[in-house]
Amino acid sequence: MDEFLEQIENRKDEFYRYIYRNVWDTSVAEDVFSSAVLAAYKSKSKFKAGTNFRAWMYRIITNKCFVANREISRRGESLEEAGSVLSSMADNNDYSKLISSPEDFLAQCGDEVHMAMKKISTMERSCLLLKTMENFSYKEIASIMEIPFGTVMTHLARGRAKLRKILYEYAVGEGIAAPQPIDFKKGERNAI
Amino acid sequence: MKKDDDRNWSAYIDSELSVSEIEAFEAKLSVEELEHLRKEKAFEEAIGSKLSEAPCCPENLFADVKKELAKGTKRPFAKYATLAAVAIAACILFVFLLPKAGTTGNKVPMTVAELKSQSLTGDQLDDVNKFLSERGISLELTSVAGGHHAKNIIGAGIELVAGEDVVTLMFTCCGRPAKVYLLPKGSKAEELIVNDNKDWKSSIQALVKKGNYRLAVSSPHNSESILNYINQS
Repeated sequence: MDEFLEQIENRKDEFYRYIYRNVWDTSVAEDVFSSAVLAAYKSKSKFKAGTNFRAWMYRIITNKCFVANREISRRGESLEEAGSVLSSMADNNDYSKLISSPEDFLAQCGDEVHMAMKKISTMERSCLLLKTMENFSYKEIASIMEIPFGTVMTHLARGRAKLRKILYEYAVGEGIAAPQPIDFKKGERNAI
Repeated sequence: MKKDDDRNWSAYIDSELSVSEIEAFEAKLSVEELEHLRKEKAFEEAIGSKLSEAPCCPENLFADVKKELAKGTKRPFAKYATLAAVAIAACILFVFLLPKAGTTGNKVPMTVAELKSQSLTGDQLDDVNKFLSERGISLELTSVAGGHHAKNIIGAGIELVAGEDVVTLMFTCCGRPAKVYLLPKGSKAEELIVNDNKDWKSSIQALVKKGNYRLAVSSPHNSESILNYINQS
């Protein structure tokens, strides 16, 4: 087999997993995977030997995910201020207690982590998946997503804040944590 | 650097701040806040692990792409081709299979009643695990209580797939029917469901490997998480 295809095959599970977590539908994930591999193969002459093949593939795959999720106009996307939700959550004893045993908390949340990932934008989700699941650096994510470094920081911060807010609200709803809602815009706590 | 800027918190969690930025940032934090950030880091890693629990690339998918590349033809996966295929399949299913839903049982389960009629056991955890154990299947079902989707056990049964008896576990997930096929690795049934048959391919939501089995879940509802409750005994 061609060396280029062999490199893709060696990482096919990793690529598919990222796509699946980004588009959330088996048939769409298969379509995105196929079209990304075909597109990569078609433009393999553009890949510079000795550069980061994995990051190059993720750029193609991420673009295909955006098309699948119908959120192509990402450069025009307005960014809200990142706010101070994460920092204000440090003062929330219930939340802090919940994440003291992360595995237990996530087990209690069940599918909610996946549901929460669906609720954030493709931009935030892609940045989070590339960082948290695929362990790329901010610089690599900026290159893959073709956005500035600072924008990566903003998307990650906003995605994380939203994810935590959704999980915390779920925990409150399920009686796992006491109600202590957080104002997402301002990051202010309103103890009840 | 403001300590309450989420971007700094996030970058700190990811170890993406420079040494001088870390020093400046930490200087503004209390002991409790530093301790909280340590927890956030562990929480983030746990989220990463949770998200990584996704299905592997279906074995036939890459092979199909290679075949297409070998043919040198235009890519067959046109933008809406999959959606169109699913819509057509749904229409065919509706027109031809719905009236027979109670007897076929080898596609997406249509009703809870259909699954109940196929169950050979009681609807308790012990009933199902006893059924598995009696058949020498090294898998066990753990309690399906809790989680975002309310799940209940219907029972276990046996179904003929590719001429082989395949054990199935049946559930409701948010009130909708869901069926899990326990496919012995290397069996004809596994080959049929995973690689060969397009009808099966469109019926199966997710596949995972557990011990000597491949588990396939089929449901009109998103019931992939049921697979987390079936593990090696």
